[in-house]
Amino acid sequence: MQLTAEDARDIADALIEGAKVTNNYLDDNINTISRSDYDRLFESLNSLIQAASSVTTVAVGLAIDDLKNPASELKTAIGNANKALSTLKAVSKVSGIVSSLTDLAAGVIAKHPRAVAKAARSLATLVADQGNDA
Amino acid sequence: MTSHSILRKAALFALCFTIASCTNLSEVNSWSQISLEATQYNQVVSTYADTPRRLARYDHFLPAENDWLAQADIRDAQAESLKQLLSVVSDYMSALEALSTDTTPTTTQDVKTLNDSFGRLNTALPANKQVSKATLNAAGSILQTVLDASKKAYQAKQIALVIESANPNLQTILGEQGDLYKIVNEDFRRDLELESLKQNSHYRDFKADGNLIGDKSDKKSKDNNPLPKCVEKMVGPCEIDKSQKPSRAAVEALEEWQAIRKSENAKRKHVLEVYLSVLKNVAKGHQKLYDNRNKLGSKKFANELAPLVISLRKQVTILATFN
Repeated sequence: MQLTAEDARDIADALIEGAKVTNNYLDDNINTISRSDYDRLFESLNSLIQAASSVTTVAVGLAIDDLKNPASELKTAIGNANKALSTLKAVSKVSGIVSSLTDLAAGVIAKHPRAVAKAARSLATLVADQGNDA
Repeated sequence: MTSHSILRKAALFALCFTIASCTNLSEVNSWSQISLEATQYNQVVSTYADTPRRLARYDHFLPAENDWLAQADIRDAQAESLKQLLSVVSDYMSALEALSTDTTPTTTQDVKTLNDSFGRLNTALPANKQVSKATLNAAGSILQTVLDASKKAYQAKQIALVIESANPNLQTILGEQGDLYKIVNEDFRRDLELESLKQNSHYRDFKADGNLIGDKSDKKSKDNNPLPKCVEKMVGPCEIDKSQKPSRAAVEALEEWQAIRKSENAKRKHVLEVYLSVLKNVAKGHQKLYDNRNKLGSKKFANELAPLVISLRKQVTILATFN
């Protein structure tokens, strides 16, 4: 059976609980216990602390693996937001295109070739820009 | 299509979008902005990654030191992943902030340009088909309303869609049952508790071996191993004169070191608590956005969101002082 982040957390919690009990015992009995008992408990406490820390590292590693999926899905939402934002920005460009079209129409109605050519050039540039942004 | 019928259609559009133009996304924008700042903070991740290095100093010259340093390498890689994850969340907040920015002023120039073009088109028309200058100006004004309203309506709709698709994932990451929240609340918290235990164990060992605790010297002097393990490793086993009390300077220095380490640990724990409140508020705020996604611009919703923005801003300011 595969170890989950929650399993690892349970183990780490049990280890730190053991470390706390040992630590409290040493605090309460430091003046009465023998040197050999002290040494044994001191070593046990440090082993428990290191083991709890090591299992904590395992728990975090497993939790990070669990986070990969929601993170990649969140990236999709960011993509959608940016797409909507570029559409909003494109409104100005669209109104620019409409302006150029209107200028073009004015040139055609007035039978003014130079104005037609100028409006057509500006329209072509705007449409090309729009295509590049898409 | 005559110019008059164009104006009629424009007026109709303006009417349709006038309601939508009441949309005010400024509170959503403020919330996104402060959430962006909040999710850019990643000091707690660095603290977690560095814990084994900090603890290694208490096992200096002991075999355990290498185990701590090996653990630190693993945590460095984990910290990188966690920082990347936080940057995805802050990228999302940044996108939401940009999307909810008030875009109204940007259309004014567009409309002016368009209106000038209509004016040129109008003068090109035969005199009997031209519309008056007053009508043209009115058309420009209507056009401005239509453009702004349609932009805002589109904006509100898009924000709602983005929030809708992001919320489940954001809650899975930041929510109280979320993985990142659990990492910070359970694993980082335990990590700092372990640091506190290790400090206590280390300084108690020093004090015990230096005869600084009660009459413990009687018990320990029976042994031939009177030095703390880390010191013994450096200088080798040796006898010390137990009848000689440590100097007051030594006692005070040791007390001071321990107090400094203790306060550093307490500060890290405090930052962790503030950071947890930040995560909680960001998740709570986004859930509110999701629940009200179809009325984000309403005044009532803005009033509901405002206290959360204020509280988040306070927490972010506190975190900034610990950077």
